[in-house]
Amino acid sequence: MRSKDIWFRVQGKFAHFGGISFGPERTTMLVPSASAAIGMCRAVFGKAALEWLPREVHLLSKPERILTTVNELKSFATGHSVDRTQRQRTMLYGCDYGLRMGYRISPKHLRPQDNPEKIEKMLADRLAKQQSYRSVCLGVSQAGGVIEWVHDPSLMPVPVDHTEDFGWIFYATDHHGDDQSYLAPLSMKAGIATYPSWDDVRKYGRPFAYKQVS
Amino acid sequence: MASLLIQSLYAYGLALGLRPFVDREDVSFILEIGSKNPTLSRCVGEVKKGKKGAPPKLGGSLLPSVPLRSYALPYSVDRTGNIRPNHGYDNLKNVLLEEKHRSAFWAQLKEDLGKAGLAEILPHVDRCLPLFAKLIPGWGLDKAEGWVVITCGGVPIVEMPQFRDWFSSVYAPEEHPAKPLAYDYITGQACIPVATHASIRGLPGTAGEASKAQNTSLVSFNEKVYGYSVGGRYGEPGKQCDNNFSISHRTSVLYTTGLNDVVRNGRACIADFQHMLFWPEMTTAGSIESFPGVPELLTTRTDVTHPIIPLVTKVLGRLLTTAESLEVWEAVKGLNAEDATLINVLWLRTDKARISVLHHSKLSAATLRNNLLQFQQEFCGIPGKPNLGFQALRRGTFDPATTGSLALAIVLGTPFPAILNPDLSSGDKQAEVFDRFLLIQSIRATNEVFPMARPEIDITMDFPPIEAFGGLPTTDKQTASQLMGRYAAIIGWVVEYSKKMPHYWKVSQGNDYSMLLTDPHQLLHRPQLQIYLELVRKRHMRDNGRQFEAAFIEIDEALAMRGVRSNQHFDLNELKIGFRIQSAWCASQDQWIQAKRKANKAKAETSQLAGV
Repeated sequence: MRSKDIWFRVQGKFAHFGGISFGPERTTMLVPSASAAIGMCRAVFGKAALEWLPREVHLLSKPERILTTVNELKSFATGHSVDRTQRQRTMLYGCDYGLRMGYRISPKHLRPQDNPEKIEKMLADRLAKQQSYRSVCLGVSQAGGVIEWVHDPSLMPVPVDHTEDFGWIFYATDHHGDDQSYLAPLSMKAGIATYPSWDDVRKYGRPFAYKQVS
Repeated sequence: MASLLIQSLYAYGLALGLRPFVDREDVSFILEIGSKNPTLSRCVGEVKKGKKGAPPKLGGSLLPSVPLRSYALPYSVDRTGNIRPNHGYDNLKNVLLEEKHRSAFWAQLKEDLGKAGLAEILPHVDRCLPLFAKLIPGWGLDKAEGWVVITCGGVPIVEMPQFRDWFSSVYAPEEHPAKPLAYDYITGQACIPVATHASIRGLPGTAGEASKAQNTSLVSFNEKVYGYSVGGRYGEPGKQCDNNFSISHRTSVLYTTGLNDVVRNGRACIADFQHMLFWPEMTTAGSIESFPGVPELLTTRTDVTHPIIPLVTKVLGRLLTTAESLEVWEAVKGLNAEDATLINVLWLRTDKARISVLHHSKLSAATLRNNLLQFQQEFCGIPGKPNLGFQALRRGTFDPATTGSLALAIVLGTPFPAILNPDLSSGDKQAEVFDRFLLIQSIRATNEVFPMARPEIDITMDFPPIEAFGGLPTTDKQTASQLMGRYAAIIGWVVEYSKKMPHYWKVSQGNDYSMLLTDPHQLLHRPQLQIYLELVRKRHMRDNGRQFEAAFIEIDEALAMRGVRSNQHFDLNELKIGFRIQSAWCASQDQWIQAKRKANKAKAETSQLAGV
């Protein structure tokens, strides 16, 4: 099982990286959660056997926050049109991120007709042709964007100077483990936020679950 | 992220420390239990607020009167469902009037006195309890309300040092539950989530709904609407409200302590029921210490005050005199221009039972200072208004619905929102201020630099010379029909130009485009602003006149949704023309429908006019 870091550059006019909400207003994080970063990469190449490992995110431009109104369903359970409502959603405007991602191939999820070499070759081909399986979304489906593979990381712009502690935030759902969602801390120094590794998150992260914990 | 707001408030509250007692609160009754018979006195004076902000009802007129008093009361307990008594004081109903609540209160008080080491008061309590049933009917307390403070020997129990020490020690202690149910979202520690978060005080709401707004919440749960349960799925019925944003009691107390302090010290009321709050970002020590991969704490500020906060609240929240205004702007100029301290900006709306969070972000104190000075420079020098403050800018100019967005744009230094309707109907209308606003709006919009490196479609183009629309150069001798033809040509140009701009709709293809309706940035790139600038320039060259009348035009389906509005006025005697175009921000479908109706009506009228 081999892994190497891949650099992506993700740009979009709008983005919304929601996290733990406490009310009907949708507020957004400044940078994508690990889950959102994984989702962007899965737009390039998504296979159950390919586990994307978020390493770090670079803030290449400082987005603004703008207030929008969106239509939402009050309840997914019924799905009736009468349950639609308008909610305030804060969006980021003018987004530009650099993503450093790793990957590994999980033998557990490998189908019989696949093998790691085949998947790696498919990924390399897709990257070389700058193809993506579907269009990338920056957090929500309304916020479309463009993702491109950066062959030479030295060509990436310098991150903006921004330093902030984000505290415990939503990390991702562990689809390659116990299907549990996790919280993990994140902080950004000089425009670079380093995601905790999946191993650390599984060991020290907080399960996003309401049950008796020890 | 939502939790970043709570985390910032938590860190601020942590720096302030726990505050078990409210500052001072007026009480309505004083019950003395140290004498042979318990005596109840009624406090008479100008009561600012009673229970939940409403003035106390009359009652107790048969009681002896004492001057109004206020005490540093212990924070009230959270009461949901079952009524739990407060410590050392409570409202009249719980202390005396209702027997069920009365027994609970006095039992709680006896327990508190025992724990606080005030056992010498217990015999007084035991002596008074049987007497209440006989005494209360003679006190004439029908329909009376208000806080009752218990005194013994003239000293209120809530002010006795032993009682205060004991209450401080038991108020929101560290929790280590044996059977925790969830992890605290802020500290990451295992906890039993609180059912309701501590209340927020001092944030004014609607006058008619004071009871809702005085002790309101930032985080609350409505099972059918806010389905943010951790255990259950979105909107799943049958889940308890304590699933909502699980944090421990201590965390909830600390973040509301921070918010209550910000409400008192860092709040600017920018419009009716709209508030903008400012506080410095504090260290988050302790919140992530249990995660070994991220030990580094980047924010290390411990000073809870910052000099820019009183200034920005003055600029936004008060109607300043000229002297005050000069003083404030001098103070802003004197601040450190390279201060990297992060300042939290929170925009709230309090016209509902639950506080609506409309915006939360952080920006450096240096940026905030520059943005304030930019605002000062943009709006200074209007004749008769040399130092225009924000409240003076908005009065008679903008309606409350747009004031908040405008204040936010000033604070963040972003383009101004498009205004649907200037509020020029009031007596103190400020047409010249609105003129300046439109000019600054255009300048801010054109100065905006989109930060993406990817080449964008160029959406700007030079406005053709006005002569290109036919006729001779503008003179005062043109006839009305010539001028009308010229402006009809301009409107036609806008129609054609807008059709060439599918760029704005690419984002929305196949998606929900409602966000485009409310995006001020989308609106501020509109070509009509270019036209406006050009016309303003030519108008000032010509006669510096200012005559405007309202008339809607509907340009096309797309632009109509953004509510392009043009104003034309023909004065046949003087042959002067004023022309103003503004873009509209349709915040909701209803507004859009209304705007479209207006546009259709105006279009019909314009057609008739053109026919004449």
